[in-house]
Formats: sequence, C-alpha cells, structure tokens
Amino acid sequence: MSSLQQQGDRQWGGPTLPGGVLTPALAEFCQSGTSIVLASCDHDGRPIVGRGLACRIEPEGKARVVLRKSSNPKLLKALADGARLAVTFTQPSTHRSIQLKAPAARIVDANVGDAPAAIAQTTAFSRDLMDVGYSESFAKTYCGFEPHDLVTLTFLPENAFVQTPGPNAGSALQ
Amino acid sequence: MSTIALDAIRGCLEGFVPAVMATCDAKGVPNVSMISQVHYVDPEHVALSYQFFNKTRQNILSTRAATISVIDPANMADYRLDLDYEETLTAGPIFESMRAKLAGIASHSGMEGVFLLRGADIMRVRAIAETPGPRIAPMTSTLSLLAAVRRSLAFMAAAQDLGNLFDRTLESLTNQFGIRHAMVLMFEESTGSLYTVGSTGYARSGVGSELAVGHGIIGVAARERVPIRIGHMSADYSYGAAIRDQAQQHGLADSTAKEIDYPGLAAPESQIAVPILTDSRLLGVLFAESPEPMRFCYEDEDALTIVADRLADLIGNVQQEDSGPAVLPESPPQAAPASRAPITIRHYAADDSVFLDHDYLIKGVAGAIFWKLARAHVGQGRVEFTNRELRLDPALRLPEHSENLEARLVLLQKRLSERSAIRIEKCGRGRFRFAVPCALTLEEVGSGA
Repeated sequence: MSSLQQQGDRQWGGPTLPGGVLTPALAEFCQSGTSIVLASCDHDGRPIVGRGLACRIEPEGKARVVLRKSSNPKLLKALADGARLAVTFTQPSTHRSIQLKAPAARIVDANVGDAPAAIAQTTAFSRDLMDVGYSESFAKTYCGFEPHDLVTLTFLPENAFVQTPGPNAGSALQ
Repeated sequence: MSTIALDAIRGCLEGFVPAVMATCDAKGVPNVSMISQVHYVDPEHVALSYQFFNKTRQNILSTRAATISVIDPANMADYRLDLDYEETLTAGPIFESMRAKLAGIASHSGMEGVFLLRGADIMRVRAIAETPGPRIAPMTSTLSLLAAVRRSLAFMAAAQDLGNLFDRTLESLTNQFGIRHAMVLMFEESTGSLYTVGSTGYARSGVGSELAVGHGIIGVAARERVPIRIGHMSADYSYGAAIRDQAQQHGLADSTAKEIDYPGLAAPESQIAVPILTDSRLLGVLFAESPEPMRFCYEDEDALTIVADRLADLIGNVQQEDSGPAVLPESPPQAAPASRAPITIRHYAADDSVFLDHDYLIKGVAGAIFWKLARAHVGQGRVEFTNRELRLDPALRLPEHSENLEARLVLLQKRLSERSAIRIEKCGRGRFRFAVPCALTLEEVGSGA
C-alpha cells in the first residue's frame, strides 16, 4: 500500500504550505521524480496535452513545472493566452498519482535551480521506469532534454485530487 | 484528416508506454490522466477504455473532445491525437476485445468484479501530430511477417491428418515467426473447457491439460471469440494490484478470489490467444507466449489471426476422410506378446477417466473412446478401427461436429505415446490401429454393472 493512501484523504487537507493546497508530503511527492503530464484548453474549448520533466515547490506553495519548450508549443500558447492548467504526477512503480489544478500559469525562463532539479528528478524517474521494466535507453530518452530547451510554468495550485487508479480516483484531497 | 496515418503508428497503441489523456469541461477546466487502453479500431478511429465514472468521463460526455499523447516504443516519437467522441460501445467485437484484455488482467490479479470495462469509447481521429523531442534509432526488423504467413500457410496445407496439422502449425510458429512457446487447444463444448492437443517449447507437452473457458488469457479469448494480447504481464499485474489495494480498502474485492495458474511458462511477459473460428463457431485457441515483454504487436495479431483462420479451414479439410466402413471385419484375436508385463486399465464411469496401472491417462470423451477400444480389443481381439464407427457409437456421446472425434484421437494418441507402450497408429484414411504390446486387464469402477 502506498504511503499516500495510508495517510488518508483527511491528512492531505491538513496543514498546507502558505497560500495553497500543498501539504509538505504532497510537495515532496511532486518533487521526487515522477511522470509529469499536463493539460490545458485552447480557444475552441479543445483539450491540449503536454508532458513535463520536473517540479519544484517554492516555500510559499507555488509550483514550478519544468518542461521541454519544443515538445509543448500548443500547451504553452494556451497558457500564455490565460487558459487553465492541470498537472498529474504519477509514480510508475506504485501507480500513486496526484492531480493539481490551477486557474492560470505563468511561463517563465528556467531559472538557475530548474535545470539541476530537472537532472535530479529525471534521474530518479528513470530509475523508477527501469524498476518497472523499461530499458535504460527508453528511460533516458523519455527523460532527455537540452538545457536551452527548458521552460518553466509557475502556478499556485487551487485543487488537488487523488488520481491513483481505482474507485477512489478523482476525489478531492481537501 | 491528418497527414500521419493512424495505421502507421499502431505501435503507439500497444500500451508499452501509458497513454496520457487530456479533456476539458464546458468551462475550460482541463483534466489530465493516464488511460488504461487506447485500442486501434480502424484507420480513422481508436477506442478508449472507460472503467470508472470520473472527471474524464464527465468531460468526454459534455464536450465530446479529448486529446491523447502516445509514444512509439520503436523510436520514442510522441504523437498527439486530437479526438472526437462518437459513441460508447458496451457490446460487440471492439468492446469484447478490450474487455477481454482487462478481464485477463483481472483474473491474474484477483480483481474479477472490480476491474471492469464499462464501455469502449469510440473516438474519431481528427488529427495526428508528431511532437519534437528526443528519439532513438528504431531497430530494424529481422522478420517479414507477410512472408512468414505465406510460408506457414503453405507448410500447414500439406498436413496429412489433424495431428500432423497441429504439429505443422506449431512448427510454423517456431520456424517462421520465431515463436518458441505455443499451444493449440481445442474446445470441448459439453464441459465448456479447452484441452491442449499440441504444444511446443515446454519442458512437458501439457497435452490433455484443461482450461476453463472464461479464465485466463486463453479462456477469455475463447469465451469472447476475439484475439487478445497482453504484452507486459508484470506491469499489468502491478496495475491490477494497485487497484486491488484500493478496492480492498473499500470492501469491493474478495480476498479469497483465486488467481489463475496457466500452463506453460512460469513467468511469461507476453501472451497472445487467437480463437480458431469457423463461421464464428469456436473450434479452439491458438496460443503463444514469451518471457520477453511486448513480444506480440498488432501486426503479430493480424498474422496469427490469418494462421488461425487457415487452421480452422484445414481442420475441416483433413476430416473429409471419414468415408470408411462403419465396422471392419473382425480381426482374429491376437495373443499378447509375453515379453511385456500386462497393463491394468481402470475406467471410472462417472467421468470416463482412465488410469493405466494407477497412472492417470485421460478422461471425458477421449477416456470413453479409449475404454471402448480397450474393451473391443480384450473382448473381441480387435486391433483396427474406423473413425466412422466411433462417430456412430451413441455410447461415446460425441458432440455434433466432426473435429471433436479427430481432436480427441490426436489427444489420446499423444497421451498414450507419452505415458504408455500402447499406441494409436493411423493405418489408412479414416482408420487406425490400436497397437497393444502386452496383455490388458480391464477394471470398471462405478458403472453399477
């Protein structure tokens, strides 16, 4: 059983970092090197999907999600136009999964801490991928990036949801 | 329509990398999650698995739009598919094919009743775009599946009888497709089970082993009459286990539900079961497996389906030999060779099970056939028999279709050759010899006679 489940939903609604829904444990999970996938919505109301690389949670509860600029042009365009954001963090070895939602996100250049975080987290994520049977070349390619291609989304999560598959999926953490 | 053809990226839909699905609600609030299955339907449609009523589901129903990201395991290319919802199927081949895969996963992980496919959401593909990103050089294939199919069909067509046809089919899988572990199973309508009539690549042949229809990969393929594949058994198991943990917390799972033990490899990663069908009637299942993950892809499924279809035709053809007399002239009683110890044959009337000197041989219709042969041999000294006289014998209660007798003779022949000195040998079209190198003692148990 996952530690997230053991803690139960209620504790996720406990003390949060200032200004957000993130608890310290949730923040730790998001920064541990997980699969990061994203969604937004374009002008026509159609969904846009994206894939990310790393996440950093700032002390005031803001999230920074680092992604490849070249791989996610539609997502970046929609967010630049003020569309909403959803981000799901999943650990392949346990299927533990959490979704954060925010009414908007800012697109900023990757800062001095983002690239090292991307390296550390994609390394951890690669290990998890290999633990569940993916090859090293698969894991390294999936997690690969050029530092100059990194871009960062910053947002204050408004909601968090359990996404671990099963009957409980989709329930709010708060 | 997109310039990238869906057919060209079927490899992305194997589930090697979980697909990501984005939806929005009517107010533009996005949702993103992993999706269990993206199933290839036709060149313009995929089907998405609908398992739980969640936000994704609500969004699909309200906005009828989704976007998925799928990765080609061959070169790591990431494709984004823009989809329009058309309908949800809750029956039919597409639904059954997807449900069978989920059911296989469920039976492996004790999740029957929880991990269910509620529907197959049919989505029209509006556009496919390849996303820039890291790639790897794709491995070049060493095998032409089309050529392998062609050579296999030619080799199978030269079969002389049903046993030889099964052998040639399995040999083709090994020699032409590089499949090292495979079985042919035939369907027993009266008991709703499948029995192995041939195998390749296992320490023991397993001929005669039975599987219940509806259980495991093979049994589900048989029940649903659709090919099913699982390419990453440990990942599927792990996925099922995660859901089971949660379901047990919610009191939904029966912790006593048994997991299915499959014959064959102890730790398979990939399995494919293709029904052998004639006019949608189930004859059996062609099954292959591998310790390698993702060994069988859509192309392999297509190829093995052609092989199974041809096998069904040939099963019909090799049985057009049943024109011999119903009864042969009685042969003179033959004295048993003194060099071998006698064999005691025990027959249990309740299930027609047969034991040779306390060793289990076979049961059911094949057991009844063997018992008839043994009695005719001991009582009347008969050695030669015709298929037709067996078919006409009401005591054997043979099911309607002719392959049932032939397949049981193959089964009996193989079991005897593995377990005994007694042999069943073909000796002409529709005729065989019951070759017994020793004296037989017959014991009937539970007949009341």
